[in-house]
Amino acid sequence: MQLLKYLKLGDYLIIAVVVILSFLPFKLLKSGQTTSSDATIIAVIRVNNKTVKKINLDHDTIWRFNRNGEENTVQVKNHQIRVIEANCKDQLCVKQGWKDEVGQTIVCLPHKFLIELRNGANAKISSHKKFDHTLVNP
Amino acid sequence: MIRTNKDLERYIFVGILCAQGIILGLIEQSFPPIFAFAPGAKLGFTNVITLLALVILPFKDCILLTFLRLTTTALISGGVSTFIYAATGAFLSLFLMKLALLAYPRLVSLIGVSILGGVSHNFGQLLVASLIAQSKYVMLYLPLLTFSGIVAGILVGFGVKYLLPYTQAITHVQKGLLKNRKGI
Repeated sequence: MQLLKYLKLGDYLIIAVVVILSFLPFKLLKSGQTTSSDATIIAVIRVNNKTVKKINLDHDTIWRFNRNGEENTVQVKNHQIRVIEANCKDQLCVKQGWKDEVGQTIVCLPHKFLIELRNGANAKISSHKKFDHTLVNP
Repeated sequence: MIRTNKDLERYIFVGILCAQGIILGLIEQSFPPIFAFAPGAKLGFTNVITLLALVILPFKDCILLTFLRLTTTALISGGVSTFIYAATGAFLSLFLMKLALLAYPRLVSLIGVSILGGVSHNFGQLLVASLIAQSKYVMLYLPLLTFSGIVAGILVGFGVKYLLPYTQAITHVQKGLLKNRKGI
């Protein structure tokens, strides 16, 4: 391997430290949560730092969220959630695909749109009345 | 008189590197995304220019170069929010790469330095994203970005390794620059 010839001791050290540090958030954020496989998961939709909707992942639904023309369409299917359509510039939220584990997120930075998956054992399903969101199919 | 010529040469060199960085950044934006598994990850061609500048220019010129490049890129292709993301990542990686370069070439090679730069660039951007979204769970995305940062860092490191001998062509400029660097 030509690559291994160039690498020095410090390089291996840098790679090791960087990899270990990158898994640190997992340890910090996941240790407090006890995730059991049959627990209900809810998706918390936040737009511009305000919680606008909590969705239960048990029912297959499609929701459309609209803030001043910035649209994100969210699909729930088989206890998974994804952004199916958005009119943002980079489409990164659509590319992030299906999520189904507690702690996972889908972010759309241009619209300040965020989906957080949380443990929904004792959470109340609610919605923000003033925010423009519609159920596309029941 | 000679002193002003040296300064002029240095600023022209900063200008050339800055222009190259902007062009590389624009070319990279038009590419299809290479890391399909990690949306948002980039190859980081501009890191080639930053690392090259760190090796051959004094540090204060590197700060000037990065600032100019970020401002111009924001004016051409982005808005204020892209500028904030890019600036946090760029300056974090700039300072960390400078720290790592203190051990170059005895302990680390250019590849290790550029890996550190690429990963810290991604980390800085993710940090701002998680601050703006006000959700610490965004940070769980870090391992994917770290992996793509390491791959990109290896490519960039090799790029700089092959580019560096060609900058020797302007030897008298570089000699002047190195002399200046000792004074700082």
